[in-house]
Amino acid sequence: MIKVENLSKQFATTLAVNKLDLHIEKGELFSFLGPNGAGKTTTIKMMVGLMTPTEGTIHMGGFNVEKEPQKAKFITGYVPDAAFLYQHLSGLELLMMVGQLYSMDNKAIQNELNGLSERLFMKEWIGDRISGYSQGMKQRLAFASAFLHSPEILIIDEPMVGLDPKTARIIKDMLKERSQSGVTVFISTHNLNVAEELSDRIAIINRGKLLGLGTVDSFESVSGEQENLEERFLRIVEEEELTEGHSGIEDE
Amino acid sequence: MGDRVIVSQQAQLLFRVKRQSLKGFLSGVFVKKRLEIFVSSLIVFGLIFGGYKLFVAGGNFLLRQGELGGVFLDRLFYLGWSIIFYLLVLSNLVTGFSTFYRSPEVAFLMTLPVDNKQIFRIKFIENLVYSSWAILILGIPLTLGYGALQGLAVWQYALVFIAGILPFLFIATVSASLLLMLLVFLSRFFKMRTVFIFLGVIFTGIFYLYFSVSQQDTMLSGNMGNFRALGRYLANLSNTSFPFIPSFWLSRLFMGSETLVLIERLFFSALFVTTAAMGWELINWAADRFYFNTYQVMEGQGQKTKRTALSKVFKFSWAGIRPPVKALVSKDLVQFLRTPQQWVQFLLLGFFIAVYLINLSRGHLHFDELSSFWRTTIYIFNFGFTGFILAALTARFVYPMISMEGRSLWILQMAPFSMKRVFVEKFWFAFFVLFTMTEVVALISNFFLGQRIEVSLLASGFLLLTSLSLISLSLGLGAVYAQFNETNPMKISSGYGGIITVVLSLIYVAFSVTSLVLVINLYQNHGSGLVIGLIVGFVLVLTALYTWLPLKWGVRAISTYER
Repeated sequence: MIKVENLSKQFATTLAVNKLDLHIEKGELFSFLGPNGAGKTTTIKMMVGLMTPTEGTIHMGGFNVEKEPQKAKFITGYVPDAAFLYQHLSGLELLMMVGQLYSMDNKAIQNELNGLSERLFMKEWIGDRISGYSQGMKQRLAFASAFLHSPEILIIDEPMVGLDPKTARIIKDMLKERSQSGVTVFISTHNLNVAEELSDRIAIINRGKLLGLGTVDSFESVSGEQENLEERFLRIVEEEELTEGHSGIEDE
Repeated sequence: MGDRVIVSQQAQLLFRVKRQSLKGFLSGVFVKKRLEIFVSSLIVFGLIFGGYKLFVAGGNFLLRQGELGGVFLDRLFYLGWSIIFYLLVLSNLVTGFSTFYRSPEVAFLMTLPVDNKQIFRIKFIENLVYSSWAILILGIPLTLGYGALQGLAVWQYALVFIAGILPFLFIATVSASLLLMLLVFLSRFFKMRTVFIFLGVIFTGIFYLYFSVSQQDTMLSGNMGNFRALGRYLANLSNTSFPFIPSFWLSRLFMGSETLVLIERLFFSALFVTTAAMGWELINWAADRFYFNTYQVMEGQGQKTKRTALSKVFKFSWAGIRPPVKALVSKDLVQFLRTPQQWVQFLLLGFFIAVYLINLSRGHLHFDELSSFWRTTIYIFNFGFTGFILAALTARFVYPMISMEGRSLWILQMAPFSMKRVFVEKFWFAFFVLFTMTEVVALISNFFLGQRIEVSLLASGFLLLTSLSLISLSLGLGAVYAQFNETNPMKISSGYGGIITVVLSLIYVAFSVTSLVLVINLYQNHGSGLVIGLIVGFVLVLTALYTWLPLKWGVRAISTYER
């Protein structure tokens, strides 16, 4: 469903993503792990078409993101790490707008909205202006806007940022449900517990390079010792930094 | 005593932070954007120099007409500084809204153990500088030109600047800041929009009464040489030399280098300085008591939007318009009407246009009785005015349209259509609103001027071309020089790209007005059809270039943003 081949992104003197290859199947829940500035957000922005790769190709549901961006976007829902939303609109107006951008009619939007606002506990404040929302409310709204048009692929950058435990639980459940119903879910995070709990497979990236790829179990058992995902992640990243020195990428 | 020392240290610290930020900004700008600074400076100096030359030439023309010319010149100077004073107050009012109440810096400073009065002071000075510099582009040539005609000495210029212009700017900012605090306070009880519309209606009514009383029409109807009517007209202009507004003092400080005695100059200098000092005390007193309270009013305002008529725009079913286009148009409309910096200025401009039309409606011109010279002059002024309105509207409201998407642009970039469609939607949205508005102004003004139908139609055609060109130019350059991190549309418009847009727009208006006048003259005097065709062809080619190139650049820029 998602095919990333030989993907690189160069910013002036910094190589943010370095020949990355990923193949993610339909219905898979995939986590992309890495420390700050590893190249996760840059990769995601290229996947959703917000940035152009310096090299390589990305296919979303069979559509080349560079050559057929509109078809690729039509089947994709995206939640950024910091959801900047139109401050002067209300949550309801924003969701109406997003639905219409995806050519949904008002009735279809309203049907989806009813379910989402109930599930994400937005009913109380969805008619208020976004400028008055807390970070968590904005994040919930961003999730609702990504789910609204029932996309085949969900790309989520740091899904749990700003969410209270109750909402975080709901989001995790929703992601699992969507994945089970055939939606491909790609999440980027440095929260290892989230990755461990949700993912079918995990990829570890640092300084733009893929350092490891496999199931959670495969990560934990590779060394043959009793090593959990966190210990394994830290060891892989440290080993890579020692090998490569400190000439790597800067913060995104 | 101890508290006072702490407050003084806070003030020094805030000013030091501002100074360091400015230094950092300037050093960065001078390294990275030398060409932009050079071009901007050249344009600003060009405008000042051009304005100066124009005023001196116009002044000399008036002085050659005998004593009446001198009186007219003095009145013009009074009027010029009165307009500048009102513009300064309005400009301070609009920028003050975001500077005092909507700035993230204020929100941050409010969380620190800093006296609110100090926060207000630092923002007050920021507001004064920000809202005054552009208006001085009008004031400096007026002052230098008038000074040259009066034969002022260097020391007199220095006196006027230090004891006149600086306190003048200060008093305008004090007046606007006080008025702003009052408006924000009133917004607890009434919607800000209601207050502004109410004030707009009141002021329009006052201007209507003023024009009725001043009876300018008596000067223009029938006998042009009616000196009694002229005298009455000049007398009725005396409200611009009303002795209690600072523009009167500035004019008195400046006028008649030979006739005005030193003691009178000193009196007006002292009046300025003492009024400014009293203003400083007054604004500090008001800030101490009301700034935090009014800030709280703004903080708690405008969050609830349930069941407002505006929300229905998104649900409204527009026949034949596809949902994505409807979504984009609805969003732009709602955002505009909920951004006070946008609709307040739009309303102010509407007010000025209303004043202009009321003024014309009182003219009762008998067009056929006027000479060819006066007819041409009136064509030039009226069409030039309409073109100028369009240039001002496009540079102020169309240029920032792309930048105003801000950091929410990702929502549109993620939508399943090309960014070209977003660009095209903005173009037609702006075109529909602005072309309709300026066309209405042109039709009404032509009606009041009593112009013939074919001339009105020709002017409408030219206006159509002007709208296409200026909207494309502003939108295209706005996309090329987009500033997504800036939330204040006025700051976006006054950036480098904004200045270039204004200059190019004015050049286009100058060319199109000149062409229109030439075509009308040739047509009326049965001139060569070939020459008329060549002029129209030139305007069409110019329009095509002004429309096509910026659109091309804009679409390319908007399609390749990476954020």
